[in-house]
Amino acid sequence: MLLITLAGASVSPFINFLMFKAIERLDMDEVNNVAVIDFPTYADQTNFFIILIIGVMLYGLLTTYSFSREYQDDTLKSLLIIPINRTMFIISKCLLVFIWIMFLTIYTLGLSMVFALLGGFAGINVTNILQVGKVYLLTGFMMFLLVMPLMLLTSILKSYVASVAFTIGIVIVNLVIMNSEFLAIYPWSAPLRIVNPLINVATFPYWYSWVAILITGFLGILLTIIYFNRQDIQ
Amino acid sequence: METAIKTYNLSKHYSTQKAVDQLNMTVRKGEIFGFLGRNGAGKTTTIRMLLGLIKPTEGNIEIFGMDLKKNKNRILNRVGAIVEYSGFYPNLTGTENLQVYARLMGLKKQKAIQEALEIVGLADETTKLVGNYSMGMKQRLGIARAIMHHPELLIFDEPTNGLDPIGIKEMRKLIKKLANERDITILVSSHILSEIEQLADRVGIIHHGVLLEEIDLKALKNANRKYLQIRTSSISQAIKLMENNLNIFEHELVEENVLRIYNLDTPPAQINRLLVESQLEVMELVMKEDNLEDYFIGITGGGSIG
Repeated sequence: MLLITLAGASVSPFINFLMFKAIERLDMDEVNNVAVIDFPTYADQTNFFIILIIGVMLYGLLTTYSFSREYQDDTLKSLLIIPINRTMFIISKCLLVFIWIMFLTIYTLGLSMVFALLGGFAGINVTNILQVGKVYLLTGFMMFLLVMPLMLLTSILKSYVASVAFTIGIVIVNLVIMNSEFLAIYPWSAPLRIVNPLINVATFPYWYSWVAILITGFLGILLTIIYFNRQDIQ
Repeated sequence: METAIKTYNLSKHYSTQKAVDQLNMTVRKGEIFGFLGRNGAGKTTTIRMLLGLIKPTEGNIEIFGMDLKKNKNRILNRVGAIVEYSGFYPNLTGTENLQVYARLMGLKKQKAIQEALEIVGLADETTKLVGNYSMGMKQRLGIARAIMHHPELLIFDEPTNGLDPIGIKEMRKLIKKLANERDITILVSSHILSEIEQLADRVGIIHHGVLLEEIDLKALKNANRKYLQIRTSSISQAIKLMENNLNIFEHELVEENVLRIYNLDTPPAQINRLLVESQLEVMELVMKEDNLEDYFIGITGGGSIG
């Protein structure tokens, strides 16, 4: 599963690398200043794809996997007999998901740097790397919060299908509203607004985006803990 | 007599169905208690309540004299269990799986895992992943997991599920060995009468969620009625003959041509002579005694174990 998620995390840097090289090849960067080929822009574009499309699906998959495998392998009842406190069990799963997402985030950053070097993109310096690193880590933290509702969904339905369907739905809505003002308050697109404060969504204050993300995340964790503590383990 | 497990009006209701109803069960310290019932009788539901996996609708559970609701962690640290099939992480070896559980239990003794694997005969399987284990190996690994922390109480729910006859025999030997060598209280549930009969000191019979009776198997053997079983070509004629000529009225028709006679005052040879002289074919004439299966059928109202 780790290899699958590494492969998934490689998609955005790779596709963007190809896109930027294509732009360079077509001289679109020099003609009428259509595009800028540098590391910060490339990294920003990679992050954009992660927030909008790949992140939810990839991190949603690993969240579902980390939880549902205990049902699939029938190990959950043996763990709870040890005994393991049910709340601590959920918190440990959250911690696992968090570490996994941050690992993939750092991996994506590293891979982006490698592709930028290979592509000869300008602007690879310590300042830019640190700035991009901060943005990536912040994105990783927000994405972690945003996949917490999937943990609740998995503990109720115990299957991949519902989670995959849910993430597809999230991505579709992301794509539909990405040019509208609702981008700022829809939790799964709100990270775009936070990492790009210049996005013009003046209708809603900046802090609305944070509230949407935090409520989604903490409510997801809280409801999962409550549900799991009440659940009969069949 | 100290008790290991005691339940008070234990019940579990699902919508309109009562899976377990007002169960009052006692398991004494040091004994092997057989929990017997048909499929769907409520055995697994009861065991899951004892292990805190399911919350009872009503009633209380005491284990080692402590209320399970208030002392769950303290109690379950002293309990080992297999609930139906043993689940393991298929991408790890048996030892690695046990190391995961040992860590979570806070088990410090390094030797504990090795000892447990030796007891169940899996010490040599060092490289095989659990995903490639047979059903019997997984069940044995489940026992290793249940015993490695030296619990005082073992709860096995259908431990022979999915095992072949050799595997069932090995499992039975293992359970008896654990009971004898470690002086552990063992609660084992099964729908296989013969297994319980060979293992248990006392048996609790559950039917439709209700505990019908707890019986001591030794006492049952002593109290078991002896009878003469006869199979003839015409049972109805045989009954008339015995009633009219020998005053035998204490009998029971168990199958189409099989009769059990509980009045043993009349010698079997005399009964045989009467039937033969009356031109009846006597296909079977044998002394037997009631066993657990007969007792079970008697108190559950008939039908097979399921």
